[in-house]
Amino acid sequence: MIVRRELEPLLANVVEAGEMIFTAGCIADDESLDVGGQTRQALGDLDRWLAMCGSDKSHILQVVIWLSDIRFRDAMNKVWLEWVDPANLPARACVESRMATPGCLVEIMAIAVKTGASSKART
Amino acid sequence: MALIRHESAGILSKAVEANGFVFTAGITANDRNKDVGGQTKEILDEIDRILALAGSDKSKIVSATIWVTDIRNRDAMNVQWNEWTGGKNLPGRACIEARLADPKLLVEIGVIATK
Repeated sequence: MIVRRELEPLLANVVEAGEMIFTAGCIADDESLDVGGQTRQALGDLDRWLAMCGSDKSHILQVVIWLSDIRFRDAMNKVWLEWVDPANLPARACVESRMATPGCLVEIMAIAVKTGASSKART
Repeated sequence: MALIRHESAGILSKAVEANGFVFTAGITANDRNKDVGGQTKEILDEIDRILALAGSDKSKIVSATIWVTDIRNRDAMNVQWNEWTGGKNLPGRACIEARLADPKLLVEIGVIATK
């Protein structure tokens, strides 16, 4: 059973398939913000999208982060560390790419499971 | 859990089935002389073929990642994307710029679908 939420012309912002959740690349609405501000706004949207599907940030499996300039990594990470659940860190990749608009400095895409799924810490 | 790999050769499989999902490789066009629209169309046809191998189809795609070698080609790619999706069953999607394996490749698309 696939549920597609927040449909836009080209994509769905978030898609549920059984216990799994797939997001679109999440970007800040306000491109005047610096990379930290854009990251905060994008992660806020990600929280909202996951909540819509009965999940939350502690249930993210994988995250891909694109930065328009890899030198933004430290500034992005500062906000990431404030946001992320330290007990439930996802697998993550962060790479440099140009994105749809020049003002977009960061884009974040996630795969998560619903909160019903069990979580066991592994060393 | 059964793990089925389709069209495995050399360095990768074209698609892998696991746990009710199908994960495709990044698909590129065979005819590298085509423009970005032509390459995109070829890729999307190939994705149709690969998903069919795994008993899936484009209406079951949940996630798509699109790499273009020049982000200014996004609109031309999107024309083909829109024609192919018909605006229905839209997945989560990200489209970003990246260098690809061959300079003549203009676009590459990977998807995740359910079976």
